[in-house]
Amino acid sequence: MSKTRIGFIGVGGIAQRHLGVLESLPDVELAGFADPDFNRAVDAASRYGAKAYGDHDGLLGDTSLDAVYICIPPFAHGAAERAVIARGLPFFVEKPISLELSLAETLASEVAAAGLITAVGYHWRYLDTVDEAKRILADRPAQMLSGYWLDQTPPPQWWWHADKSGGQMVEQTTHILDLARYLVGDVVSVYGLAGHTQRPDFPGLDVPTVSTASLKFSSGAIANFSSTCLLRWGHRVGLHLFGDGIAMELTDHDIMVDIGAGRPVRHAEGDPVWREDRDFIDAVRGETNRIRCSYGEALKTHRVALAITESARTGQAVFLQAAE
Amino acid sequence: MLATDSLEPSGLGEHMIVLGQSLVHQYDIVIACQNDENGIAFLARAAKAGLRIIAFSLDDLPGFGRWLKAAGAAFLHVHAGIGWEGHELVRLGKAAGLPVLRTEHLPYLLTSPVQQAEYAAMLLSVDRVIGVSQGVAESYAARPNTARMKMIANGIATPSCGNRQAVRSELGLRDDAPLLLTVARFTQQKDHASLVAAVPQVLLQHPDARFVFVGDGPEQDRIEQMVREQGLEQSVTFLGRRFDVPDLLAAADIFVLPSLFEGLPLVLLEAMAVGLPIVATAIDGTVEAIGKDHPFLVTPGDPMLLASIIGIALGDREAAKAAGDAGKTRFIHQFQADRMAMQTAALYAGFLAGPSHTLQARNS
Ligand SMILES: NC(=O)c1ccc[n+]([C@@H]2O[C@H](COP(=O)([O-])OP(=O)(O)OC[C@H]3O[C@@H](n4cnc5c(N)ncnc54)[C@H](O)[C@@H]3O)[C@@H](O)[C@H]2O)c1
Repeated sequence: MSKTRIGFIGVGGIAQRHLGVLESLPDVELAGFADPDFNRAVDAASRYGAKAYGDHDGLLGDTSLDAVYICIPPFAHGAAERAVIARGLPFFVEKPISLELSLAETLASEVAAAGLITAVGYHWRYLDTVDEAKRILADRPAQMLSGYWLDQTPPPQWWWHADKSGGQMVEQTTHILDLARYLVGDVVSVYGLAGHTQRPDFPGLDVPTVSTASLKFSSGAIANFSSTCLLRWGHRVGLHLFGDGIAMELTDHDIMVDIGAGRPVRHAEGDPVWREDRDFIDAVRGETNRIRCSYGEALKTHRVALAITESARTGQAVFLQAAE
Repeated sequence: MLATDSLEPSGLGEHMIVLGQSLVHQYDIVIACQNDENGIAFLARAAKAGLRIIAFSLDDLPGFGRWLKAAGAAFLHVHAGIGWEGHELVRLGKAAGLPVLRTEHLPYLLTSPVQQAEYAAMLLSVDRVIGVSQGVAESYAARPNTARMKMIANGIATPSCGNRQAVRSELGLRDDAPLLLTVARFTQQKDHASLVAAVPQVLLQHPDARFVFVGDGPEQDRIEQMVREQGLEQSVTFLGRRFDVPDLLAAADIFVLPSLFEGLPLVLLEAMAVGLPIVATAIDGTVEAIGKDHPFLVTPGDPMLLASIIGIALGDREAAKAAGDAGKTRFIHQFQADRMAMQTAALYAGFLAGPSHTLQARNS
């Protein structure tokens, strides 16, 4: 069995999550790791008999790679993707795909022109509970949604700065926005609000500490999303959906469907990241492409997240072209 | 697969990297070492050199064995410092069904009967043993129960040209003040103590001489204390571990290696490659490197003699330059990495063409 040779650009926290999956796949070989923090690249390489590089150019010099995982912080996107696209390699990239919409749009059209297989790390789409929700919603479409990311502040310093992470809506709540799009369809308009509280234990943190958004979908459904990083613990991350005679609550580990007969909770089974990685590898290997979120799909979610930030800044609602 | 379980893969580690780099176009080379701090630092150097790396845990060697199999390794080449190292790796390679080669980097030094017996038992699992010098090979040949050894002399890549001023300005050293460089781990084997004992006598004639020690190791505290007790802090400088060897060599006027025993010291080859005059002890591996006709050889463990030979080398710049030039010529003819790699590759080819020819090394 020939092995699919994978290289990593960025070997931080989320890369380790994917490695935990990929190392268990018998048809995958982890060939090389690039990170400007060279010790991280060495640490990963030395676990898999791979090569380590200080930047993506070094990694991409290895002409035997079959695909690349790009697991870098939001501010770092651009050069890595361009170099990967220039070599015609399929890639998996973590959300959010950029800070600037224009960059993501350019990259999306380059990906399309090159006909590359891509996947983006919106792994909620792979929850079995989301499959169940999708089945139920087919008969009873959601008319109203409430999305939440009510959490603590992540420790990496880049996260604290709007010019590095894009803020919580773009960096975290984007998962819930993507889930809403996956279950309900395209968004046509957004209105955002944001507030900020100084906290002495997070010096220099300039992202909004609270933000909300009102959304309208092309189906007519309406939604509200709330984010805060003011808590010192994880409080609620998920999406609630309401339709005619149905209330549904989704988190990343369970689903509750209330049709007036109690509040039964079912736990999610299996690992959505495993499914996400498996689908990407299968597609790269020439098998059926079952990838649930391509670069082009992720761009649509990203557009919504950036529109919320933009609306909060200008005080104006943003209308999105339904055609796109 | 080049592997070591040496706790301090310094010279031996560089050897593995040089060998790996020279063979990387013919073979898919992976460098293996244990996952402690020194091991990871070594693997980082190997990675910088463009080689694949794998760390193993001494607590989970079977895990490494499984990896060897899963990775489809064609053979395992174990590198041992002192003779008691590497046994587990050898057995692991055999258990994984691989041909196993073993390179001895130091002469036979085992004195305990238990260790000698363990060595002999280990040899049953080795397909071929390589010695890095004639001296190493002979020291093993003289023992009962040791395999016949293939001698492949150590070789190095020609060091890049260094900047003479960089280290000298760091040390605040005048351009004409003599700098005597010693690059060696602080262990009993390297005998820094004899060199420190020689310093006062050298200073009588050459008061501005500066002795520079590069490296670290278990004996460093003791040697530093000797320097303090003799009030030599102005004349002896400890630089710790350094990776700017070309600059250090360029800054130096004389290289000093006072070791009690050596396999075939890479640092001497580096000094020779750049034509740096050498004062060293007349021991097997060292003599093999610089030649028995070298003018500045001394008996090991004799500080008085060491001091007077250093004095001569410093006093007669003509003779020193001639010795440096001769060393450079000798290096070019005998100790280049390419030659070592070619000989090693020939040995590998023998194994791959043999019974296990299905395990072809994959081109990277
Ligand atoms: N899908 C998910 O659930 C999920 C979870 C966590 C993080 N993420 C996303 O993954 C991304 C990375 O997050 P993380 O937690 O791994 O961050 P991290 O800070 O732990 O790691 C990022 C790594 O990328 C490296 N890096 C930076 N610029 C680089 C460049 N140009 N080339 C190569 N490497 C570079 C950094 O040195 C660091 O090692 C973020 O966008 C984050 O939102 C997604």
